Amino acid sequence: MSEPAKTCDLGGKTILIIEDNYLISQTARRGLEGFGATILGPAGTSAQARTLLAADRCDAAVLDISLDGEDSFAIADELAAQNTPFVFATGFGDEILPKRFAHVARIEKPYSSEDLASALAALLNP
Amino acid sequence: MRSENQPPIESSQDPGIFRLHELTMKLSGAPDLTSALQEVLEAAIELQRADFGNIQIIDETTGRLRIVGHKGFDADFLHYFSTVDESAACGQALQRGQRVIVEDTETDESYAAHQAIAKKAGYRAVQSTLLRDSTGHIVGALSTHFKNPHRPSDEELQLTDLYASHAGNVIAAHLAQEKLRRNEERYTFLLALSDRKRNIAEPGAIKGVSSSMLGEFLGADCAGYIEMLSPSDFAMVEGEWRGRPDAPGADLPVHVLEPELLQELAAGRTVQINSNEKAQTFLGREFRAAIIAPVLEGGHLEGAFYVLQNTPRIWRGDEVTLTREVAARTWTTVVRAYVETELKTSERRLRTLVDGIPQLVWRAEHGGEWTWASSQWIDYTGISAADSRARGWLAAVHPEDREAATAAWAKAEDKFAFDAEYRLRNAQDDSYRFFRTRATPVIDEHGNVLEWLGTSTDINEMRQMQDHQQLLVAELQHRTRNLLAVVRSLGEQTFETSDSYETFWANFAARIDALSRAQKLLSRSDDAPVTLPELLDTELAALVGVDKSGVRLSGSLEAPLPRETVQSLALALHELTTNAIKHGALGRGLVNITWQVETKGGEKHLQIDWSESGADIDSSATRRGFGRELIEDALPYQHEAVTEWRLLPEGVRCSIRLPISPRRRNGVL
Repeated sequence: MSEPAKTCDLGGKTILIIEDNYLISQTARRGLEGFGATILGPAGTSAQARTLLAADRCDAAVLDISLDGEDSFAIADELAAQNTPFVFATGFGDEILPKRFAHVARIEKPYSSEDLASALAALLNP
Repeated sequence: MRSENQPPIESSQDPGIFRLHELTMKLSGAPDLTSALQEVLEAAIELQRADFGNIQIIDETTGRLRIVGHKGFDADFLHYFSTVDESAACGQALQRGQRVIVEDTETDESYAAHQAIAKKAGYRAVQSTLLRDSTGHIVGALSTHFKNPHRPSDEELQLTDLYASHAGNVIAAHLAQEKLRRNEERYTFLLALSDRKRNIAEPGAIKGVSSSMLGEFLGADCAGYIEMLSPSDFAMVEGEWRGRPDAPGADLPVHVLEPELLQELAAGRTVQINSNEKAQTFLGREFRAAIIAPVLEGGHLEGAFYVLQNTPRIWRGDEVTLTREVAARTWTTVVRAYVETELKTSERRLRTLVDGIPQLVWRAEHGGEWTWASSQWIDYTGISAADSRARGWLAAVHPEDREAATAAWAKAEDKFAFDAEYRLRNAQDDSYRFFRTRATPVIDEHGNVLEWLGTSTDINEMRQMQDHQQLLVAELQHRTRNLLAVVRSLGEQTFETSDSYETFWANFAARIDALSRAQKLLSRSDDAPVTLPELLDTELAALVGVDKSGVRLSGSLEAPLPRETVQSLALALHELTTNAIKHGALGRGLVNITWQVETKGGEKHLQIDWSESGADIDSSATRRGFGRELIEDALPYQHEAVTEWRLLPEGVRCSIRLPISPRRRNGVL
């Protein structure tokens, strides 16, 4: 992390966090806020995420693949349809991911705030 | 033939020559060998003016001279010389290969042994002339006897030789005829033998029939077929024939053949024993004469046929040949019977195997054109053997898998193996199950594929188990990583709210311990769900110890917690308990914990109330604690719980209403 500010800067960006585990979602929130991001959510379910997206906009999102027993692929499709970039955060291996998401960035749990921020920054500043 | 114009030979000129001429005429009209020889004898007696005489031929079975005609002897003499030994005149002649003349039986020392019988018969002199065939081979003897000491004149003897040559030719012609007759008999016998054997399938019975037929045909006493076993000097005899009716075909115990005999047989030589002086034994049987004919295949001794005789006997060449022939034919038939029996057994075994295995078995020609399907296939798919033929079997394959199944056949020809997994329809419940189908080609000696033998094995359960196992592994990985992420979050959270390293470590370690206890409960209860009382007991036991006088628990033991809530609830209860200890509610005061399961609108809830009294609350503390955050935010966020947290001067009042109905799930997770 020699140049964290350059690779992880999320200043002025709004990030949607979709993560069903409260503790993990709060850590992600605090971490991303530390890198300057404004947080939409966190949302623990797809339904909550939709509600949030209906009311607000976001620049990028981080999606837990497993949301309390259901997968987040439907909401991922919706984000993709809106051209909102996102990363998957997952504890599963690659094989669980449908082929249409093969190009989507993934970060593996457990991840640090820097890992998450730099993955998002990469999406936003290609 | 004599013509009318030829002048008759005058008897006065030479009576011997005349008699010879007469003899020739008579011989051509003689009805049989005996009367022909009798004519020769009479002529010789007349010629030599002898008083007695006899004529003998070589007995083929004994090799000795046998009297077939005589003149002037009584029964005693004939019995005495029924077998002529070597010291008799004719015996001496046979031995020397030339005529013998005993001019006076009383003075000739060579005849001393027979003086008594000579005297009784009334002769003093004897001559014996050998009878030969046209090749010079001895076939008999002509003897004349005289009452007084006598020696026939040279002229008489020369004429006698002429007579003898006639007799020799007659005997030779007779023998040739005999030989022809025997040949015919032999072929008739071999035909009869193969007829008898044709319908016999059992090897032992074939040996028995061969033995009895050959034994009877040769007039032997015993006959049998030896089968060589492994190790190679062991011999087995089944169905041995013994000439007497009271001794039926017998199976002998396994014998070890004598090395000398074995060596002869292994070299392909027929062992022939003629007229032994004393009895020998073979396979425990006594015998005086024997033929033992080996059967070799690829230079290896496979068996032998033996014929035994208890009396002296000289085996004729054709008898030996016949025995060899029967030996070879018996071996061939016995081997074929063994092969057929083995084939039948093996077919039966294979059929039992094919019908018994749980696989669906089938046969196919190139390109997967089926020719045969087992009963298991028909039972499972409900498609008859006829309908499964050619590509008919594809009807049982799941429509989505048909292309792959056909493609696998295209590859099979090159790889000399067919291996594919596809679904087959079960006719009984109209379901598809996964089968692994493998086939191997049957290849002839030129490397051409004759057909394919295939099996389809039900692997449905295995596949399901594999799929399930993959899910379990993925789930385990997911949970482990999530747990580590939670630990990481706890660490960060604790770090941010700790004012010293010591506080951080104490709180962090306590939280990790609480998490571990919850994990322990979860890992124990694979079947039974963790209940709230269990969770409370575990937490209180860890933090308060055995003295639980400061805690009042009230609620049903039947308070199951959904698996995914255990961790969050454990952390929340841990924070509540820790705070209660810190504020004195636990220790000086009292903590009242009640719970109940409520059902409303089909949804089950667990209502938990935590009520402290006698605490000493410092109301100036403004910072929102981690416990309160967990209850107010985490439980609603993560488990849709409805919660309330209040801080009163006497302690904390807290209410948690947790949905515990099984959640609907969709997707793979």
